Amino acid sequence: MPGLHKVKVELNRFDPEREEPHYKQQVEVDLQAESTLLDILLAVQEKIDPSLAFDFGCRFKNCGLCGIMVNGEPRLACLTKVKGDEEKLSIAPLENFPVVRDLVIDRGPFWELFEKSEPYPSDGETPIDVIPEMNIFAEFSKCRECLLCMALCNQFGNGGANFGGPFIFVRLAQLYLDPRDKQDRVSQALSLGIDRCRDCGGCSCRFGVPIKKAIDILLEG
Amino acid sequence: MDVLDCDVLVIGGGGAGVAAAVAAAEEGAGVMLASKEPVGYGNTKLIGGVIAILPQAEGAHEAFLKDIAESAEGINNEEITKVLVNGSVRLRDILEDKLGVFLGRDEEGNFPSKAVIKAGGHSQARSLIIPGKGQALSLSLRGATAKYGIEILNDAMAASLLCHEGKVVGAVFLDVKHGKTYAVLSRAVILATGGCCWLYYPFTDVSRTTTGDGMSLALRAGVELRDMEQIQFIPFGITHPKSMMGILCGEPYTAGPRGKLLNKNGEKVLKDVWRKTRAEVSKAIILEAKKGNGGPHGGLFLDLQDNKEDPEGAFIYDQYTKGALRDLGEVVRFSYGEKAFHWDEPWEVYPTAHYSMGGVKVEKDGRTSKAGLWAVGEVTGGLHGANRLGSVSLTDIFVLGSLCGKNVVEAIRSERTPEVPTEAVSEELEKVESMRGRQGKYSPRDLLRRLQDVMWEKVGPLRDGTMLEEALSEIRELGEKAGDISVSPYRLCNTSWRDALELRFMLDLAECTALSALLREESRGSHLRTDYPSRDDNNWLRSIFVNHEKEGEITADARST
Repeated sequence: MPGLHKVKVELNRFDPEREEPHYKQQVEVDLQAESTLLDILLAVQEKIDPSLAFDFGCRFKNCGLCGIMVNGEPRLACLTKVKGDEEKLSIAPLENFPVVRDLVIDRGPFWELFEKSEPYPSDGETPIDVIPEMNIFAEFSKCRECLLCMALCNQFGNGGANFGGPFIFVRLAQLYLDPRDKQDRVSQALSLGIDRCRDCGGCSCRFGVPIKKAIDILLEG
Repeated sequence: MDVLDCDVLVIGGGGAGVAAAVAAAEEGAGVMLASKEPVGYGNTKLIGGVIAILPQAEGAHEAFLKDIAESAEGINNEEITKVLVNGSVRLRDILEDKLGVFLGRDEEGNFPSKAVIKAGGHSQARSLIIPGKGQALSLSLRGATAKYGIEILNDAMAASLLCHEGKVVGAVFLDVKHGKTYAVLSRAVILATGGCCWLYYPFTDVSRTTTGDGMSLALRAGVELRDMEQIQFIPFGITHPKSMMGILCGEPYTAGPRGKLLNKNGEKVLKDVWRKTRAEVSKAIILEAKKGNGGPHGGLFLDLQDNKEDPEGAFIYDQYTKGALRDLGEVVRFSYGEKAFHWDEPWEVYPTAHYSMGGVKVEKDGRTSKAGLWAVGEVTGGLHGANRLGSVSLTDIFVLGSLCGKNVVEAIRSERTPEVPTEAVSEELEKVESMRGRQGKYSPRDLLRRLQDVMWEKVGPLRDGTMLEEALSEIRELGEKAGDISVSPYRLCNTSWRDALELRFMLDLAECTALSALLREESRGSHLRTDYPSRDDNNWLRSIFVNHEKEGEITADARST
């Protein structure tokens, strides 16, 4: 086997059942030369501290469950390589979401907001041959639902409970382009606070979904 | 005590579960859908995004039936296969109108011909590439549940089924995240929990949640499982980094006409790799690695470089780097780098568990032998026999899922909501609650990992009678240890609590798989025995069914399919 090396990691943990719910844990993990942050989390849970809670699903890129903050940046643990020469590796739960424990966030309230936006083609019974702007529509389909964009969003965290955020705006823009949909997605987006995106421009997507394009479509029609 | 109720309870939030839930809701039923992960985040999202449809061609029905039976090597259930093929004409209606997926069509109103390909094992072009693939499907699934007013139970892991007067009348759940247990009473339960390939972790490409929950729940409710020995292994999975072990990075065909499978000494291991079956190549890799001829990460090497000088090989290379196989290429690029991605250097591969052909025995309408209990999708067995034909699993979940949802409502129309004694419910809830904080000798995680090792080593792509007997006794030994486990006392995100439940499910399925594999003294489909290397149609054109006897023993017998 290729040589092992040691990696130091800072885990920002959370346990509401503790007297001091937020605490930091420093761990040192033996890793192979080519590793990912998911390797680190798995190694900690399997060998150092089984109580460390985190989510993962597919182990490469597709499911969108392993989003975390790495040195303050939202990343997917499975897609973040660790070489061992990093000056600092500080891991925390995805920002802007309620944390259940350690790195596990509660998506429940967010799904409720999402479902309120009626995220389906409202008149699905009408058959369609083509989607006129298929290229942009297809770009929006690349969304992995990882919610990293929501963690990066300046407004979602501060905007109170009813701010939609990039994930929902991309879905609304996609429906706006779908000829089967008869809902007024522009009004919906406005009521979800998209106005606040006008001068922000702080969003981006790890998978290249053109979030700004989605916002433009909804703001300008 | 927390008790909810509904008409139809669907367990599983992938394509099968959502299709069934939507169809049931459309018939007017009040539907709840329970899912361990957010709806749509499971294996439906990870698939290649190609779905078998019925083309407008001469003899399309018969050809489709024949292809499935040939791939299944004769042990698929014909009735279920017919329902699937007949029902596949409704796919556009289900996917576009009901679920909100977009498929597109050409001037004649057919599926766009450019998107319909002739996939491996198919005699006709009938595999439609869905625009946006699994991601697009996934995005639509949650939307569809909102459209039809289906109530979602998030983070809900089914711990047991509630039975009353010989009928399934609901289920008990653990919300692992929030540490809550509750019961749902219903007039019918549909299992749509998917397969059990997590039995082979880390040598698998499936989602972590694929722990076979529904198969074990059905088995313990007295329903037979069938074809459990048939696990689809694909020869080319990633070997490193460790977190990506088992992720799919190719098929025999993608080795191309000039691709070579090499051991660590650079010796060719198998001829004409690209013309061999998945099972044959998987077996060859493991046999060679067992001789000590594997690479630094335990696999063999694929050397694909010479393909670039062959027209067909170059075509596959283009597909890998720029075309329809790009997703596989990206896996190679991320784990092994640019040179490997461009086939300029050999890279390591090792087999991986991909799909469970076996599962809950169902009738053609989706019902099981137990009143009130239905099942659909990968959790069932029968459609795929000994080997699943590519792109049929999506047809399965959407066509049969949708039919199952409709049939359930038809069946329960005349029935009332069951009156289940509260003591029976609280007793089941207490069983789950009492696991938490249990102090025993063994960690459920350790037992799980040991179980997975045994499954890969002895019930994997390479099997013989001795290995299988050893496996059975080790599995049973682990089963005994599972009665003496430690579970952490805290409530929130208590992984050991979840592990304890999943361990129980997976022990059942491991035993079923090993027992069925031991009984089938021949090689067929995905089940290859080195001590019985050939297919034996005189004796084995039958399926193997397993039963959970009242005394807790699991038994197997072979009958016609």
